[in-house]
Amino acid sequence: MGKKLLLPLLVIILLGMPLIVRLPYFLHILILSAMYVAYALSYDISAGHLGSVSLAHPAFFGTGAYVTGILAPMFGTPFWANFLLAAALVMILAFIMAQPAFRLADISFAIVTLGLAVSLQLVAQNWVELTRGPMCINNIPAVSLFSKGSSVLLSSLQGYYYLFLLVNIVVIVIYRLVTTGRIGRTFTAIRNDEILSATQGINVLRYKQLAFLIGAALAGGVGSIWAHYMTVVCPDYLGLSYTLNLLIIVFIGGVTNYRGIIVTAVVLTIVPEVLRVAPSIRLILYGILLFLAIVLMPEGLAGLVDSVRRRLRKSTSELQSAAAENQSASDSNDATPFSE
Amino acid sequence: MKRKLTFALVISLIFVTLLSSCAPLATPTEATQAPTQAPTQVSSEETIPKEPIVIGVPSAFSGPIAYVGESYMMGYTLALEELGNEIAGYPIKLVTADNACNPDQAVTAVRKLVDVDNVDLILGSGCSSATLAVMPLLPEAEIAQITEGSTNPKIYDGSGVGGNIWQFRYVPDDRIMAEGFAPFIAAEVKSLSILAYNDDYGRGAAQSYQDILGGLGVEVVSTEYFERGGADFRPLLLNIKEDKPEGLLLVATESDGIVILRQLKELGLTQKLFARGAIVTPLFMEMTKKEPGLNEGIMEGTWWAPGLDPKFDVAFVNRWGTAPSPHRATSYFIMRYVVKAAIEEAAKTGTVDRKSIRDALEKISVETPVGVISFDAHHQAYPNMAVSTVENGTIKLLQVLETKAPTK
Amino acid sequence: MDIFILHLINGITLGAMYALVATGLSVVFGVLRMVNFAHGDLFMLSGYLLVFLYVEKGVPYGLAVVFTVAGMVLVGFLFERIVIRPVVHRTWRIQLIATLAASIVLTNLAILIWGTTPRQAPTILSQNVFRVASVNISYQRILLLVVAVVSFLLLTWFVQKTRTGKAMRAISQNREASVVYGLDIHGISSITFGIGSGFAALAASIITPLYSVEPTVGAMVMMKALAAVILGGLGHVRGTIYAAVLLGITEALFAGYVSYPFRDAAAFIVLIFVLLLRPQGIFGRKVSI
Repeated sequence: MGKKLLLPLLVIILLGMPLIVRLPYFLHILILSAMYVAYALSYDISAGHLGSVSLAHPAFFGTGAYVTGILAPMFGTPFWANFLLAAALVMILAFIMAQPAFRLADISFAIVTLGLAVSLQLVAQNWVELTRGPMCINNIPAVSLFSKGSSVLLSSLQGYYYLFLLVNIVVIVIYRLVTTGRIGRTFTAIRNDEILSATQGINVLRYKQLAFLIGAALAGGVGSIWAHYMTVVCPDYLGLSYTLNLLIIVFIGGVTNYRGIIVTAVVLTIVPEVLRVAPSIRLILYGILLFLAIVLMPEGLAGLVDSVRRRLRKSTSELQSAAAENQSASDSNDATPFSE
Repeated sequence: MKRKLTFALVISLIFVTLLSSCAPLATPTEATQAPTQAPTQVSSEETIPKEPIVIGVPSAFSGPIAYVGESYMMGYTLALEELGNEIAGYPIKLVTADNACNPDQAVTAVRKLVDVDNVDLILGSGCSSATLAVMPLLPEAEIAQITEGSTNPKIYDGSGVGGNIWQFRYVPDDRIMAEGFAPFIAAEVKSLSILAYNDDYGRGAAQSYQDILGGLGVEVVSTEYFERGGADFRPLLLNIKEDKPEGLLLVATESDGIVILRQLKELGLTQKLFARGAIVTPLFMEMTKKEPGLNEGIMEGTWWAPGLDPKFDVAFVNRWGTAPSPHRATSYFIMRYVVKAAIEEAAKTGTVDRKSIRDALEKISVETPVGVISFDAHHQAYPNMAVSTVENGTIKLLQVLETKAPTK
Repeated sequence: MDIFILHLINGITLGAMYALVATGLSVVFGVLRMVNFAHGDLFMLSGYLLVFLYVEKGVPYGLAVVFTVAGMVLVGFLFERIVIRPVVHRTWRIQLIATLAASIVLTNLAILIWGTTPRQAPTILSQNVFRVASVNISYQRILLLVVAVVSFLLLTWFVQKTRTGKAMRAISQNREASVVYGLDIHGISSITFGIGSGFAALAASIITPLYSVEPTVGAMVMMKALAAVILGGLGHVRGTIYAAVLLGITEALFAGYVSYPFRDAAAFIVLIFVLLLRPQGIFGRKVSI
């Protein structure tokens, strides 16, 4: 009953935001947090659900941004075409990178992806003829629906807010599609016990690569829209600082828990802006929080909230009905991620 | 189901807090109206203090070049203190915002300064990538930005008659500076290698010198780029040694310059050295106290050198206990002369606000220790540049050059 | 030909530097089966400690090196107690995130304390150059080579001959059995970490006078060291050292002959090609982590 009421309420709040939040600064922060929601969810598909902790995710986001930065001014293509093209090209790139990377396991995998990301950033930095290198590509046109010059509405901050809302819906739908149901259960099985899954006839490598490619393509698409919004693309986009941001959001939010990740992405984008703490102090706090989160509650904040609630529920007489409800509502994220 | 309920609750809670935090913050927007009327009402009175003018400084205060933001603030603060923290009777307030030299954060920083701190003028945004990302926001917010350090030629092309009437730049870019300094290089050597930062500043400078030196009969043997914070320059230096050019032009600031010069000495390179950055500076001398002679004999052409304004040289050391550098001096000159003149000019109209400050910037022409400063049609200023060298461990100012609009 | 030798010498000194940093990582991996992503930050902290002692307090260089190493061994013990022990039994992912978190904290703590302007610590050795024929090499770099070789020999002796060293090897080979035989796992872990941290300090003490120290100085060195650890075979210390020298030479030749800006990619290209042929690294045995 509550659900029926709350979902429309949430939709109304989200849709009504730009009418209440008039200051461009706050709209920008909302757009920024929306970008991080989509970006972090795209990372979680492979890093969370399958445990392939790649350190190359910003390379996909950045490449998507560059694809748009290079092609949009040249051809004046509409934004959705750039989005699809960026996603497709990044997927090809991810496929190529996956070939050597997935022959390795665990920590070696992480470090090889890191090496690939560093190499790609060097390309962005030094292939000046294509990427303009450190001079950055600027004057990327605002998003347009059909071709050059049309649709002024979307180039306003309100327009971008709705666009990123739309992007988030797309990302969340794809995220849910691949992480629940048959594929999602296979993902969970692989994460929980790779060897056991393999003996049961699951092609572990293929599923791992599938998750990696989908996540990469989504990141590329998000990067493409972000390039339109920022109007500038620089080699920084492929850098390690974004990797750290993603790890912080996904692991504090709770791997495989999309609600936790969404909330964390929004909160961690907004809180430092509201508090205006010095960036190094902020990062020290995040570092400590990240450490505590991963050591004390590997399921992240969302997991903590869940377990506290479970305990509360147990203490009340609702125990039975709650268990039943929990069972029926359970999706793939009930298993402890990274259980040992 | 309950889970979803809580989730929705949390989300709405966040938005509610956000909304409630917007509300009080939104009110100062109206407060900006106050100074626009205040001067007209109390212009003859001195009993009622005027509303402060807020100046925003978005720059790198974190990340690998955080020292840039720190250096700028030293200059601004010193200049403001000399002015008694007020211009034309208006108290001046500085607000900083960190952009880590990254375009995303640069946009966030400027939006915050504009919407929340209600600044009347922006002095930023440090790196060219940050400045370029910020430029499209300026017309929308109707606020002027004076750029102190970004040397990307695209900023010149896009400003003033180039389209963006809110963007101003104090520091000349390298197309401009190379024309002044290249003849000094040509007088000494007939062939040259260039070693430059792999960023817009280094690449811009290298390209400019390559073009101009070619016309002066100097053969540019090789041009190499390196990253900030790089450690091992010996492969590059070995190749330069092998190429045997007569001279070597170094486009670098203090921190990397020290490491390069140390390895250059180790490998025994004997080229005549030229610099375009911050090598022949008191700050460099201070940082290399323990290994003197590192920058001996280097000739540098840049936008500031000690001796241009001896009073500043002394005042800076007295205030901060450390030596000045081009970054530290530039910001001082901007605040002490340019901003002062602009606000005084704006005050004449009776209202000092974003628009009147911008209009004033187009009008001003102010006498400074680095020449007469005014902004041309492209909103570019032309402070003098200085050519100096190090002789027996002290910096010697060789010549002060006037700069002019790029010929191309 | 002449210049080839110069590039080669350059590569060997670079390799020695990577080896010193990578050894600490490798020893820790060998015993604890985990990669410490904050190793580069221990290197950075050591650099600042050296600057503090040698430049600011005027302690003679040799003594400053000893104090730096000793101080960092203690920091290593502390680090093991606070950061490593809670995650030593967990999966590699948790260890990765935990040590990365530690790295974020240490880097930003350094920015807060020392700012971002690089600090210098030149020595008499770094300012004087040994010249023979066309070879120019500062005495500090020669010191680096000597220290690298001597410290590896000492480490080998320690691991082969001493009781603690033998215990370390035992734990590395079979953790469960070692527990059964009553080895003090926590104690050995502490000592291992102290050694790892001490190697980072030794590396920083010799290298900082050649370059400079700033809060992010650990990141790139760390990446090369990681590449060396994996290339050499995880946990195989001697393999790591060979791999580090190989990477140093590759990088120097690549920078000299192919492309200077892309030199950081060279190490990873080598790494990827080798791993395609031998996923366990050059000297590594197949280990299950």
